[in-house]
Amino acid sequence: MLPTLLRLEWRHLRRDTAFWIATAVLALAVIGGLASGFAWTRFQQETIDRARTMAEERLAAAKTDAARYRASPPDRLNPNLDPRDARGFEFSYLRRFALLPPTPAAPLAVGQSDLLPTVLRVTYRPKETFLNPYEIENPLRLLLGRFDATFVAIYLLPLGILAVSSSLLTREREAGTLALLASLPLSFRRWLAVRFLLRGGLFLGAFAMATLAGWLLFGGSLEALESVLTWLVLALLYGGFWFALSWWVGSRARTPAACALTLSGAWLAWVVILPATLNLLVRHLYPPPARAAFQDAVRHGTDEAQRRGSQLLAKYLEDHPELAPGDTPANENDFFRTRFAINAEIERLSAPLRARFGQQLSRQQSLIEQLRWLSPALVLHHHALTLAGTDRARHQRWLEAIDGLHARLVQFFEPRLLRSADFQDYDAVPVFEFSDPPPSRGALGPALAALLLPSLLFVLLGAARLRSVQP
Amino acid sequence: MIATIARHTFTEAVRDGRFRVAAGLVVILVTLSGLLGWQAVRALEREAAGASNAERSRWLGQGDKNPHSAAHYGVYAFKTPRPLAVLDPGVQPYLGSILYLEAHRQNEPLYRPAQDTTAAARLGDLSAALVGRTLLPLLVILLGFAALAGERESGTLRQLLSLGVTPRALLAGKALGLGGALALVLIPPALLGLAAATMLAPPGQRGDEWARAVLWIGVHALYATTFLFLTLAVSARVRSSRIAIVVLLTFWLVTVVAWPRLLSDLGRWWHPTPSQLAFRDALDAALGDPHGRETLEVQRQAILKHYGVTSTADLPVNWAGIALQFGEERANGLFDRHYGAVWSTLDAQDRLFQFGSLASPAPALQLLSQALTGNDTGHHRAFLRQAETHRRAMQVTLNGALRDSKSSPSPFRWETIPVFHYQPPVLREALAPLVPSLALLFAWSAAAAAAALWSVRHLTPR
Repeated sequence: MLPTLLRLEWRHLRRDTAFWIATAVLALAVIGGLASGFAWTRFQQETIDRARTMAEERLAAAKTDAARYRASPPDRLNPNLDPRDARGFEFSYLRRFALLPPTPAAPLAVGQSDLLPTVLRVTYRPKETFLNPYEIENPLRLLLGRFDATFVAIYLLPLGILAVSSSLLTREREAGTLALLASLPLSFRRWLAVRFLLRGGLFLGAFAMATLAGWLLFGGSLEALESVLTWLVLALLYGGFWFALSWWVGSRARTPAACALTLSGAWLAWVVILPATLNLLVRHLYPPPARAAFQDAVRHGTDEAQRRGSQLLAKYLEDHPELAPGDTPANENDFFRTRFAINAEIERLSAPLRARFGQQLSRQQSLIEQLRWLSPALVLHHHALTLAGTDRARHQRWLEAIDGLHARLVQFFEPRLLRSADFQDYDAVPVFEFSDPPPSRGALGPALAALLLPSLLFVLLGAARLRSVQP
Repeated sequence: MIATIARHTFTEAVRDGRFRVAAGLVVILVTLSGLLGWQAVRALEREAAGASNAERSRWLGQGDKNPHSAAHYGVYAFKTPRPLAVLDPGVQPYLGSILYLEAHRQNEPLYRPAQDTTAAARLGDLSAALVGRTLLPLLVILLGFAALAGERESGTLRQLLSLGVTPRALLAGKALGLGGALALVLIPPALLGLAAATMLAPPGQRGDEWARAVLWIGVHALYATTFLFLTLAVSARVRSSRIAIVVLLTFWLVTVVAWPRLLSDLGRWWHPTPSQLAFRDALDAALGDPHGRETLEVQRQAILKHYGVTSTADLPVNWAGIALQFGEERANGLFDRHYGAVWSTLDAQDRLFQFGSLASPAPALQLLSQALTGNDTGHHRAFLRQAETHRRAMQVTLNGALRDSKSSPSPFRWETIPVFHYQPPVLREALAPLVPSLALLFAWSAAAAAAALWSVRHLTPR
């Protein structure tokens, strides 16, 4: 019976132009989404390569210029431009960039990578002076988000599914052919299950094939294949959720229009309204501190530190006796000693203020992670960004690595800026170290369950309902 | 006859349980987002005012200080939120709101509010604008997809036509009735907007804000009308309400959900912006160009000749003030050129988005909504322009004081530098670049009405 049903349904499906159009549009959309993701990743990689080249060229220029000046010392040279002086090297030549390269799976989801910086020039100066440059981006584009593969999966895949599956039963009822089907020696459930499975298999299969083809077409890394496949499994389970919902709603609705409206309402609720409402509530429950107040406090602290420069210097030298003037004239490098003392004070004052932003953000993140189980769209979004490495957590780890580099730069430059010795340590300047932890699959289990269990529930509810369906 | 049909349609619509649920949801969401937005606007206003006052006190309390040191010390300008952000925060979450105004540099605004939120916020923030742009068309479709197709399916269309009701009268009655039901949904955002314009706007800007709130409701009503006529056109044209709902939902999906994102991606593809690194590198290279020092030397020689002296030390004025101002003016030209190029690219992207409204009314509505609530790129740019004008004026005054310090050695009076006040563009200025959007939204509405009229000309009971 099953092969016959499949054959019959296939004949029916072959002539269903709307199904094939929807399948083709979705396949093109996911390829277009991947094209957008790859274009953005390429842009990021080019920026990072440019930063690396710039850093190398400046370092080479420092060495060349220093050698030239040593061979034939210029009459007068601004210390800020002199590579033989730690000050001049740091100010005019050193470009120590902290770079957050896109992961091989990044084209799947642009995520936060267009909003948060991925290239920062780190210096020994207070962090507020280098932590805030943004990529040049149209704010409207940031607001709307990207047309990437994750957008296609979250927004368009379910709508495509609703378009191809929402009226599979109700249309027969409306056309009056349900009574004819009831007279045949087969169960509604089996007949409808075959319709759903065939359409679902083809539709999701085409989506999967288009994703993999797009990935290979745009030169996606095979190294990321595991992440791509995991993303695909999640997207297909998400698609399965919408097919299951359509099955259940279809089993209950009287007319195709009622079915389409209910499913559109569910899509709107789960994909648009619920995430937007949760975002609003989460931000309201854990509002970030005011940036104006933060800036005001940092400014006030900086002024106070500068006003108390000499006091701070005395305290600073107590903490760092190795940096005391010693044999050199006491005020020769007082500018830098005071500068470091002030910087340390600014950092002491601003660190807890900055930490408050981090704390509130962590609370927001923790709450939204708990609430994400309410919406399959949030589940897919969260894991897609994690797989692509464009999530907040990876960026946070990168910022922590920048903290480490900043501390090492302070440690490196403090003694060198305070001593007027000839600077030769070009290759000893601390470098930025950041690596991604090995991917953890533990967190995927609950996500798979969160997408699978409601689907099973809808399937069972629909099946139960179909027992009592009357033509 | 039209009035009777309209009354009947209206009553039927407001008694429909689905409409009640959907309309109730719209009202709850608009109220919730409006109240929380209200609270946020008040808090931001308070904090910006506090920080601005503290900044002013620090500026005035600098004591005896070299004017150029003060120029380096600079001031922070804080952008205050606009009252109608309770309806549509627009692009504000993606723009910095604090700008450091200092010597030698045109800075970029700091701290985008979106950087302090989770990644899930990129799925959208609840606001009356989001509800109006996405939910309202669905509500229209829900109300109207079966308005004519349903009459045909149930056989009542034949009865109506046999009673002498003309298809045009039927269309007008249905449109008025459904429009009346939809107008009920627009009442909460209208009240919210007017209340915000009254209670959150400074007295001098209230009239402007009221006009903005009224127009905001107007453009949303126009958008809803477009969808209403399109819905009626489809409902009149297709064979069944099932086909009507499929066609309308597909249209909504493509034009409201997918097209705006696709447009913004196409905008960057056609008009790419440089990376921040490349931009900064090019600007720094231009600022450090030795040509600047050469032209300064020409300037120095001209000044020495003018005063008939051979050394800057012999000048009756302080050469440092003149040199610094020369540097500022040279840098200003470079800032205008480099930042201007970036803004031109962003403008080109926005123009593409605006003309993308030829294919969907949603982009036009989005641009108009943000502009009317004062939260679009145009308003942000006005803030940046005014702040930069203030910065340049500050440098002229401070460098002038330094230049004249030989003849008037008394300490600089810090109050000479005025407080920075951002004066938002008035409605007319704000809407000027969006005339095409407004025209396209009207065109959509007219085309939809024409399509509906054309469809009912062929209205048959079968």
